[in-house]
Amino acid sequence: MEASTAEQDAVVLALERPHPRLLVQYTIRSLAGVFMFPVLWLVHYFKYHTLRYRFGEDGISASWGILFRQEVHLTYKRIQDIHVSRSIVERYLGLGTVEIQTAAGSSRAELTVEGRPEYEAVRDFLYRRMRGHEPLATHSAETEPRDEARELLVALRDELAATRRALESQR
Amino acid sequence: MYSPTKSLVLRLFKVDGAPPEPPRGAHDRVRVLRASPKYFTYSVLALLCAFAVLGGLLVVGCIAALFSSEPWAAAIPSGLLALVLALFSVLFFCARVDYELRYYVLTDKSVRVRHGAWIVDEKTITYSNVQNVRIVQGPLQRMFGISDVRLDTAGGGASVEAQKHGNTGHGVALAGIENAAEVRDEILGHLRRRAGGAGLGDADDERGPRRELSSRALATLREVVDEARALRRAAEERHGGAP
Repeated sequence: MEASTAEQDAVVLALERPHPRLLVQYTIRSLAGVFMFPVLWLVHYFKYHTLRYRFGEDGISASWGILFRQEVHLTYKRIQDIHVSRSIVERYLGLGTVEIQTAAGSSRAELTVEGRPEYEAVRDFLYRRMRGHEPLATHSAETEPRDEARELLVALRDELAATRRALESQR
Repeated sequence: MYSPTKSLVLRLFKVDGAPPEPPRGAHDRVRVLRASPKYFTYSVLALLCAFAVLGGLLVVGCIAALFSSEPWAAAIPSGLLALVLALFSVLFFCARVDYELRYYVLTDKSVRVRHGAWIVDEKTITYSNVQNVRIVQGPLQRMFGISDVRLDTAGGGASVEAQKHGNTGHGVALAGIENAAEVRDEILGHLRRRAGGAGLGDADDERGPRRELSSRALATLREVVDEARALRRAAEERHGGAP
């Protein structure tokens, strides 16, 4: 459970396909449609087989569909909230749904990562990349990143001072 | 009778009922809030109000049927009444479980809310993305001295159905807490410290404006430094050569 951050990241970055149990979940969901079952099941069946996720350095993308193709990309920094929900079916199947909301204004999630047992790792992965997760910057010299421009300017100042001293002592 | 039923249902539903772990990362402060016990009383009262009209009508129907000459007349309203009572007890149980499975985790960077048993629902937001904080209190809630603290993000509009229930957008709701004002102050304190940006995915400008030099400018600067070094050497050599 307490996997290191790097291990967790590696797991999430490698995610690409939903777990096969998602098809079971889709089937049960389609059964709820009673008479519409064959149509719903077919739609879900193709969604399952075409669903692809890609977790990148800056953002995440998902694509699915066979007749109507869909592809969604979003950057981690634009995530507004991370919503993890687990229905009773998902709990029995050991899966979870992570819905990612951006400020795009639709009432439904812009991107949904469903059908993975690693939903908690996905949640933590996204949380770490979300805006506002970083600690507030303290303005101490230790935490400042290396600033090459400043280092060069300091070197320049020292050189000029030494030159001036050298010239002054000649007179 | 309640707790064995509850543990059975939770086991059947595969709900672990444990509080959510706080969001990962270093936190100065983690505080777990629960809904007030009054929240449960409030939910039950709200339920009773919803059932009052229907139940009352059926009770009146039963009494009226007693005076009827037809021997079967009482069967229909009393059967319905039994059904309504059964439904009420199920909903009563749901209200109790809902109350017990509510967790609000506040840290110095984010809020995580988990609730529900049928669908276990968990939302995590950071203060940087919060657009506004609201306290909502209905007349019944005021009677009990509890209120909901809502944190809205820019995450899109809610459905029309959700808006009817006072949920105008995305974000989290800390429902049924007694110390709403104190919690609001704590949250606003965190918000003030993270005031930069519009919460719309702006680059983190919390370090203040920082403009990086282009790599070409840096290269030129390096050349200037080399030039200065050469100038110094030349000056020192002349100094050494011609005292």
